[in-house]
Amino acid sequence: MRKFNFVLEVKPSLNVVSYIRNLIKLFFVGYDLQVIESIQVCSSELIENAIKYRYVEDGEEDSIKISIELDAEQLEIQVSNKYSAKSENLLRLLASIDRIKRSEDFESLYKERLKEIFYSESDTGNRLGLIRIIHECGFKIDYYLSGKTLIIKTRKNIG
Amino acid sequence: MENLIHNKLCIDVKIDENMNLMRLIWSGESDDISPSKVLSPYLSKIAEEVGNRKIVIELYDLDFINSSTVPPIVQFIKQCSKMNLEILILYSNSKEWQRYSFKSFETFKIIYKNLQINAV
Repeated sequence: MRKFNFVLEVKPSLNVVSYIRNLIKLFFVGYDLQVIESIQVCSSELIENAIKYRYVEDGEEDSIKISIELDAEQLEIQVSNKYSAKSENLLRLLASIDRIKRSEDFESLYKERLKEIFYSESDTGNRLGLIRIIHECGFKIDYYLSGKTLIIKTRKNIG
Repeated sequence: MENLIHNKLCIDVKIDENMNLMRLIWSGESDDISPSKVLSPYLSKIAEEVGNRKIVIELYDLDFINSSTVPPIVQFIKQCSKMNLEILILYSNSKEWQRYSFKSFETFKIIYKNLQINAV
């Protein structure tokens, strides 16, 4: 099986999530439907996060980069965006990823998050997408900070 | 009650007087970053207008939803539970993402006795 590498840098906009999902469908045509759905769900949730949590200083280019690598054994999806180290949202996001990494029961984590949303009056569902990536699609998740860039990396074995 | 068409998401409302049901038939895709702006007021109005009918939320034809679409559905379930309305949620057993996303809604059955969730 050939190694496929999909890399795209986009300007954040309301339609970009839908646009990338459709592009993935076209690019990975012929692949197993479940693999395509995994790529679509994971990419959509990560790009949505990047749009919500990015921070760009005046004069800096505002863009989000997505990279998808697929071979016979492994699928890797990476999304990067600029961040502010002072942002409380960023700290919450990283704390959520750390919590997910420590968990061994993703279904319980997902249900627990659903209950939190049920009991809250104004919960917009932040973090649910990250749990979905792990629980629904079976990815492992991690993050890296490189200069002013936050990189969220997900990986799953498909072989 | 009017149907909802918002971008690629469609909710058809069908009243079955014989069975005393209000069917909400969802189809298409929901990938707005803030879907609750449209869905929450719409679903809230459904709960107010359903009367004594049972609500059937038919999700099996949905092709995609993002995680931001889940909170307005959960808040709708909460509103119905407060009003003691009966709800049946139907999802597709053949779509893996639906099994994972919607089967977990069974967690609300402990809180809300009038909620049924079935795979079709």
